[in-house]
Order: sequence, then structure tokens, then C-alpha cells
Amino acid sequence: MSVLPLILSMVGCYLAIGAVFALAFVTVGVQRIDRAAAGSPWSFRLLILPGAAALWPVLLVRWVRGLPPPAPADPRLARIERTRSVLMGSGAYWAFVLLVWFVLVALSRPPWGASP
Amino acid sequence: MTKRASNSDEFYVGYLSVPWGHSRFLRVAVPVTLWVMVFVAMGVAWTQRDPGRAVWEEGPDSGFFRLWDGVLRAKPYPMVELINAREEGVALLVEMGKHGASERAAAFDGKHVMILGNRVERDGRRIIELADSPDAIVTHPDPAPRGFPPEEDLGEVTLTGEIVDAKCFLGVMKPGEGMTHKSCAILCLTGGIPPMLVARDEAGMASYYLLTDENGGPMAAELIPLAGEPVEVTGMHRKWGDLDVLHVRIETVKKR
Amino acid sequence: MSASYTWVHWNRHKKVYDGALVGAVALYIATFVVVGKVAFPPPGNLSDEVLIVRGLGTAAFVLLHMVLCIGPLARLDRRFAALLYNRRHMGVTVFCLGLAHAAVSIGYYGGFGVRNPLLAMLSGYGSLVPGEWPFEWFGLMGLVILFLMAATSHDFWLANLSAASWKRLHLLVYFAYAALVMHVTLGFLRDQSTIVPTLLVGAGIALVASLHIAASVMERRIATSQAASREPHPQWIDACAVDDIPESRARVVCLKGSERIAIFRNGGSISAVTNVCAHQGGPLGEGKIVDGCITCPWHGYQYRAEDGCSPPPFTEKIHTYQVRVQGSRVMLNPEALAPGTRVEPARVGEE
Repeated sequence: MSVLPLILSMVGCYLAIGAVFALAFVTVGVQRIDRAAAGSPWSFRLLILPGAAALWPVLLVRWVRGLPPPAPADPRLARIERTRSVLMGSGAYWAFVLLVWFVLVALSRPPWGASP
Repeated sequence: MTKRASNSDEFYVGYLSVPWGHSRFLRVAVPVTLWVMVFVAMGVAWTQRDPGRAVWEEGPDSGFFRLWDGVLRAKPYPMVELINAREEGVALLVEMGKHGASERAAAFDGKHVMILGNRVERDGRRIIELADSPDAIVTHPDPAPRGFPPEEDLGEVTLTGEIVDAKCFLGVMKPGEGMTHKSCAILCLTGGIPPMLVARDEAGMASYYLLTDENGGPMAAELIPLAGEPVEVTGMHRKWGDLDVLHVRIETVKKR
Repeated sequence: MSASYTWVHWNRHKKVYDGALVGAVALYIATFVVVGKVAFPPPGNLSDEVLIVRGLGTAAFVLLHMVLCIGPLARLDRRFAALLYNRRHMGVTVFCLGLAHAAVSIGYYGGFGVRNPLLAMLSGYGSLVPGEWPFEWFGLMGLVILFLMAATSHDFWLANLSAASWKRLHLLVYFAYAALVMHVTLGFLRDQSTIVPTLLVGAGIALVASLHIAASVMERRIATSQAASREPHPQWIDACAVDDIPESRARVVCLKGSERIAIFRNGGSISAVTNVCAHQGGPLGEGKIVDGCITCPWHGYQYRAEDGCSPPPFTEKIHTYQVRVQGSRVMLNPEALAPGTRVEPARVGEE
């Protein structure tokens, strides 16, 4: 099990870099990539801090290249919402979910009433 | 529902005031939701599995440690045969936290000692959690009135039950068994807490066996990951005083 | 929607909502702990830490069900819209409860030992048999997704990750739900001697499933299917009757390829825009015209009917479509115009 400590320390490193980046980002970076953030209060900057620490590569690329925010009218949005509605509204999908769950319950526990 | 919405032309926008029909609806819907939450909380809390009767007299909480005297046996796990007037029988010894007491007990093997610690007890089976002090075990000035009790051989048995760490199960954590406790049991056993088999018969009556390897040494580390789940175990059943011990043959252990 | 960012655009509604939310969570956990203590008096008691871990975990799980149910409920009955409006605060609360649950369990079950507490909790003991997978891993998966959602819940992220990426990220809630169902099923449910908690989880899944199915059925029903023309690119199609559109409301028309268009009626004017709100993809056709603007039923984003632009200082834009009135019918050109393109509304009774 020496893989697990390695993975955990890699995640730790990623987040540590993210934390340093996030501090710089919320102080000087955020208004560079999004003009609406200029002069925004500290409460807002603190609120986006955890997300900036977790998603720092995305923001770093935007900051370095000086890209503007993506266009608000995004044609993909309609497709995604349609797919969601069709998939999550499908009886077959949920029947499958329930079936998997029943199998899991049956596989993973002794019958009720029996002492474990 | 579309019909009703088009009949009453009310429309909710978060930053405007709530329309009358909506607010009347929410005055019912929100309390109903709260009641459902309360009933779920009651239902789940009430039907939890009974953890059984067990006590952990925590020193810092109850304000004192107890003092015992007895004959110490360091192997395979530290334990004492109590010989003071109030309490008799064998009690296992562990350190605070998830640590075994082998290191500390080694120097006192076979000696008459005085012990300072907390009592952990379930169904008459005891563990003493040593006080966090260098004087938790000291040699008794008097020689022992008797030695550690002789062993008694009761033959081979096959039992089904769960491997637990004795400390949590006997009262430190309630419940100190089962799946949600599994990672803790593995941590405790890795840290040297004595392993125990909780065997239940058809009627649900539990009996507890200290687990050792085939030759009476500490249990094999391979069995640690099996803690917390139902297993079948075959081994030689022995009595050390009032303590049931099972010398497990590792190849007989199966998950059930 | 905001021209400049602040941490929360507080209004009376959000304050009442958050008050009720915090009260409900406190009520749930208090009930759980008190009932747990009354039902199991010492020496047969459950450890306090166990009660707290279970109280926090089940509170998060119950609240997650509510988060998942509010969307379809608001579709089925508009009066649930008030619960949808500030749903993100409920989602963040689910994450906070989950985090507290994880922190107390890692400290309690993983702490005090010879290993790093997190490692002790996540170290493998499982096998390939599904019933023996370590349940802690599923809890972690769910928590990571909930974290990403909570951390990106501010509209800043919506604008800066792009609405589509943001939406995709937040649809991971269904994966989080699946992971947490596994977490509960392989962990807590395995240790219980009664069927009650298992039945409750089953009822929860069934509730989420049936509401999603019902909302989808309804959505299909309210959109008029457009099969009038069989030509590949018909210039104008017969969308609906003028009288089909209620005043200040819309009729949703479904084109081939499942594109949806909302045709609004505002007094004597008829305008057509996409059914998809630029904010989070909300169903504009289920909205209403308020103060002359098409208003989304989800978060109240507004667009002018004639050009699909949000009134200043807001900058959102949506697709518009050409319409004209022919007798009692509304004719629609299904070619979407660029977002924010001005289209002269068709006048009823001017043909």
C-alpha cells in the first residue's frame, strides 16, 4: 500500500500550490481576468478562494494568456440541459440504478434480524 | 399542474415579493418538510443497532484512576491475573489511544505488580487502559501469593463471529464492531491492541475469545484485514484462568 | 446577472431561506442525538462521537435528497420555485455537513493510532467482491464532488468557467449521489439490524427517480411537437395558434433535433427566443414577462423580448427568432439568429 501515501502527497502538493496561487489570484489576478471583479469586497474574494485553490490550472492559463471570460450565450448549454433531462427522466435509467442497488444490498449484508 | 399555473397568473421571482398563492403554499410545504426530516431523524436514531452494555471509566472524566494488583503475563499480549480482594480474573492491558502495552509490560513478565488505569468492561471481560504515567505499572513490594493460573485445554472448536480489537469492542467505542468500525479495528490491531473473536450462537449469545496463532504467539498480521466482517475460525480452545483463548490455525479462517 | 461581484446578493428571501435551512439542519441533528440518547441509555449507550458522526452524515444525505428533488418539483408545480431560487445555499450546506461528518469520523476512527488518520481510513482492506469494497472511498468521492460544486457555486465561476463547463461540473451531483448511496449501503446499512434505514434509502432513491421521470414527461407534454413541415430547411413553420399563448406567458415549440423555442405574448406583440436561459439553462418558456422582460423561472434572469438582451447593466444575451402572425396562426422561422439580435415583434391582428 505504498501507492496511497504517494497519491495523497501528490494531491497535497497540488493543493499547496493551489493555495499559494489562490492567494495571489484573489488579490491581484481576479480583476485581470474578469472586469466585474474590480473593486469587489474581501468577502467575495474569500468565497472564491477554495475554488481557486482547487481549479488553479484553469485560472492560471486564463491569467497568463489574458483571455476574456467566455461568451455568456453558450450553445452547448441547451444540449447539456436536454441530455440531462432525457437521461435523468428515463425510467430505464432509474430502474437500472434501483436494480444495481438491490443487488448490492443483497450481496453486502446478512439477513435482517440475524446478529452480524 | 400547468393548468393551475396558467389559471392563477402568479409568478415567483426571488428578488420580488413572494406572490400570495406561493406564500400560502410554502407555509404548508416547509413545515411538512421539517416534520418529515424530524421523523426520519427519529426513525434512524431509534432503530440503530443496540451496541450492548459496556463501560469505559475514563480517568479524566470520572476524575480518578483505579489501582489494581496482580500477576503480569507479557506474552502473547500483556495481561494480569488480578489478585486483590474486590476483583478476580484475567484483565488485558493496553495503553491509551490505539496502542498495545507490550513494550511497557515486557519488563514485568511474571512479576507481582500494581497497576494504575481505567476500567473497560463488557459482560465481565475486562481491559485495563494504563494511565498515561511512567508509574502506571510498578513492582509490588510483596511476593505474589500465587502465580498466573494454569492453562486448560478444551479441544478443537469451529466458531463463527467477528474479529474485533478488544479495546474498542469491550467499551471504548460503542459500537466497536462492524463495517463502520472496520478501519479503526485494523488501526487498533496494527497498533498492538489484542484481537478478539466475538462468537455468537444461534440465540445471539456472545462469547469472547482472545486470538493467538497456532502456538500461542500473537495473531498473524494476515488476519488483521478480516476484522469487522463475519468470519469462520477453527482452532484449539484453551482457558487461561477465566479467559477464553483460541489458538487459530490460519488456513482455517474464512470470510462468511 | 450581477454587474459587479459581492459574496452573496442578499435579499429578504435569501435571508428567510437560509434561516429556515440552518434551523432545519439544527433541528434534525438535535432530534437525532436526543433520540439516540433516549433510546440507548447507559451502559447500553452509543458513543457521543458515533451519534454525532451519524447525525451529520444522515443530515447531509437527507438534504442531498431535497436538493435533487427541488429541481423536478419546481417543474411539476411552480409554487416550489421559491425553494429552487436559493438551492445553491442548500448544496453548500450539504457539503459543509459532509465535511464535518468526514472530519469527525477521520479523527475518531482514524486518529489516536500508529498511522496518519487519513491513511488509516483509506487504506485498502477490500477485495474485488462488490460487497467488500471499502465504503470510505465512496464517501470521499462524493465529498470531493460536493466540494467542487460548493467551491464553484458563486456566479463568478459560472462566468469564468463558461456556462457549459459549469453546468457539466454541477451535473456531477448525480455521480456524487450514486457514490454516497454506495457509501451508505456498504457502510452504515451493513451494520444495522433492522430494515428501517435500508427502506428509507430505497424510498429516497425511488422518490428522486419518480420526480425526475415525472418532470421529464411533463416537459415533453408542454412542448408542442413540430411536425408540420417535412422539408429539411423550411423557411417558415406553423408554430401554434395565437390563442394558444396566454398573455405574458409563452408556448414552447419543439423543433426536430429537439431544439426548443419559447414564443411569448406581451399584449399585442409576439416574440420568439430560445427556451434556454443563458445563466444555467433554465426553461425560459416556463417563465413570464415581468416589467416588459422575459423572466426565467429559476433565478429571475431577465431578457428584453424584442432583442434577447438583459436590460443594462446586465450583459446576458440569448438567441432570438423571426415570427409573424398569419390569420390566427403564429409562423416561426426556425433559423436561430445570433444572441441579442433585434427582431421586430409580430403584432396580433395586423395581418
